[in-house]
Amino acid sequence: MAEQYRDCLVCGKSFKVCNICQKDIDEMFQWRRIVCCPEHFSYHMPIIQYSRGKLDKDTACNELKSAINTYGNIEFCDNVKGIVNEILSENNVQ
Amino acid sequence: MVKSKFSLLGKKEYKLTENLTIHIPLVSEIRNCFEDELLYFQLVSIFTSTPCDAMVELDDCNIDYTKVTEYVFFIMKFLGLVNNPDSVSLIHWHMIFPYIDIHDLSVEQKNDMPVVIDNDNNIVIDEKIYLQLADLLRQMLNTSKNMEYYKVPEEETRRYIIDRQRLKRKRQFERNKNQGNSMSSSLDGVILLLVNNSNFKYNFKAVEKLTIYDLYACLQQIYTDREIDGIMSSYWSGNIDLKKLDNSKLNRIIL
Amino acid sequence: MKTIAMLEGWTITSVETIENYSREDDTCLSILDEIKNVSLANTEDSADVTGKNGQALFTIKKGKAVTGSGSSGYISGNLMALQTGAEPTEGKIKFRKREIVKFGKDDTSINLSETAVGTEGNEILNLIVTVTDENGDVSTQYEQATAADTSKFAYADNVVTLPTATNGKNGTVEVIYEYEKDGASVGNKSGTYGKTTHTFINCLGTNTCDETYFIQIEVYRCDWNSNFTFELGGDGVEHPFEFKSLVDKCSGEDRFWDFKVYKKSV
Repeated sequence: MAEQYRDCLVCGKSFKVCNICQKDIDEMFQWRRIVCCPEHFSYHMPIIQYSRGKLDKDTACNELKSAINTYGNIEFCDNVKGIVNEILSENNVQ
Repeated sequence: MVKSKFSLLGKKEYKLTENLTIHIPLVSEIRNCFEDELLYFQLVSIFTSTPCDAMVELDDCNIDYTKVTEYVFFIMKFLGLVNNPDSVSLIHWHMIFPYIDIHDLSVEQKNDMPVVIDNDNNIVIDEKIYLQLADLLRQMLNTSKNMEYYKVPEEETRRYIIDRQRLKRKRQFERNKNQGNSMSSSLDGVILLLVNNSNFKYNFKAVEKLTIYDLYACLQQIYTDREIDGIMSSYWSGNIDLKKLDNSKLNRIIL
Repeated sequence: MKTIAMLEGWTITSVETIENYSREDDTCLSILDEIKNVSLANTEDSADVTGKNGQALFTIKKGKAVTGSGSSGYISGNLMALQTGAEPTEGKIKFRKREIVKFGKDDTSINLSETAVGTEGNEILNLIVTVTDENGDVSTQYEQATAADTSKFAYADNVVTLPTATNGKNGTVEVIYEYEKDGASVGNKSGTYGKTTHTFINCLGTNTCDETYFIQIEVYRCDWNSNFTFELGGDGVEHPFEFKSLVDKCSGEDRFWDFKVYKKSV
């Protein structure tokens, strides 16, 4: 079967997808389907959950900042840049 | 086929007793329309069904079906008819009993046994006559008496059989419900098979003039001929040893 | 050996149920109650010990074995679990779906009939958009992303937001995804084999007096195997099965099976 590549949902880098590996772990955590490395999975989850309305801004911001503190700042792809900026922007609503 | 106890071939009526003559309906009378056929067979089943056919219903009334004789079971159902004669379709009643009106019948005790009598106090049906009548109707309609599981000495086995029967009936009911009502006659398949058989002398129009008994007798005769032809072909080609077969299997005369 | 009258003259008129119990804790593992047919084949090997002129002096009997086979009138998942050695599961079960949805010029999204499940950001396994324009039908495969853009689509709550490149066009979308429903499932794993159960074949039998009695055949160690073929589709649904009866060493009596009938003394 031909190898499948897609763009990382966080940094946009092209990586080899695997939809079959690690089927024994919860699907929620099968990073090989969507991001290029396990570290980027920590950035991906708060971004996508915030964009879907499943996380409020404060929680998403905390999780994203925690990922940045652990793994460092990264260059986000154009697809999620807008959402990341929105999450990290200072909010006057308390 | 039920062993022929009565000579019904070519007859349109059979005189069972002085007071009881049974009509043998034509195919056309039964097939007039779907309701006719269903109502006719339902009425006949009052005379031909056995306690084993209704073991679940009797159990629901706390009656042990193995303790009920065929005749008592018949009287139980017949009482429902005589007590409510207007519920019986007269057309279908006369398709069975052409010379008796149901309004003239009642059930009375004579010599400690319930019997069916007419307005002139003549016994129309007693136990002996009933057993003959039931056999006659079964022979006419090519059915057999269901006495399977009638003799069950153990109470627990009886309970097991009734529970299994209840479950099977429920499943059959669900299956029938899902398949929807069938509006076709049960005789359609039989007529189609016979008319398309070279040994059957009648076409679709002519077959309507046969009696139901003659129709089933023709069917059975054709089946028997076909079976024996098959056996003889196998014998001539050396595949079977006729000595191992019972002689009755080679008898083409079925009545 | 004394003859026992109660064991004589039986015809088994119907096999009612086959019940399978765990040998460890007697949990009921499966019940088949629409048995079409079942057979119990008993065999043994023998070797003659010969003497002068090849006369048989005595026979050594060995290799007694019992195998059974039959078929059930419906497919039983619990029986499949016994045959394949798998554990049946109950709960949220995934089903795959392929949907083709039309969209118009004014549509920027489409609705799916079920809620897709999977890793967040990868719920849609495959999406192909076929657009009708002046060049005819053009099909393009797109990837899922967090937000929809020119070359990517997004998904949330049954709604697929189409790539912006398709806006203002007519076409169809082929979506492949998985959804979950409350259900049950049993599988066939390569590493597991048929289980061994304590099996009871319940029958009704008639004796020479036409009396019906309850008959039970107890198979102490019934070893199910994975030899069965399903003829899928058509009118005949059958679930065939095969088993071997192993010697029950635990009870100390080395039995394959027992044929049992009861009748109150008159």
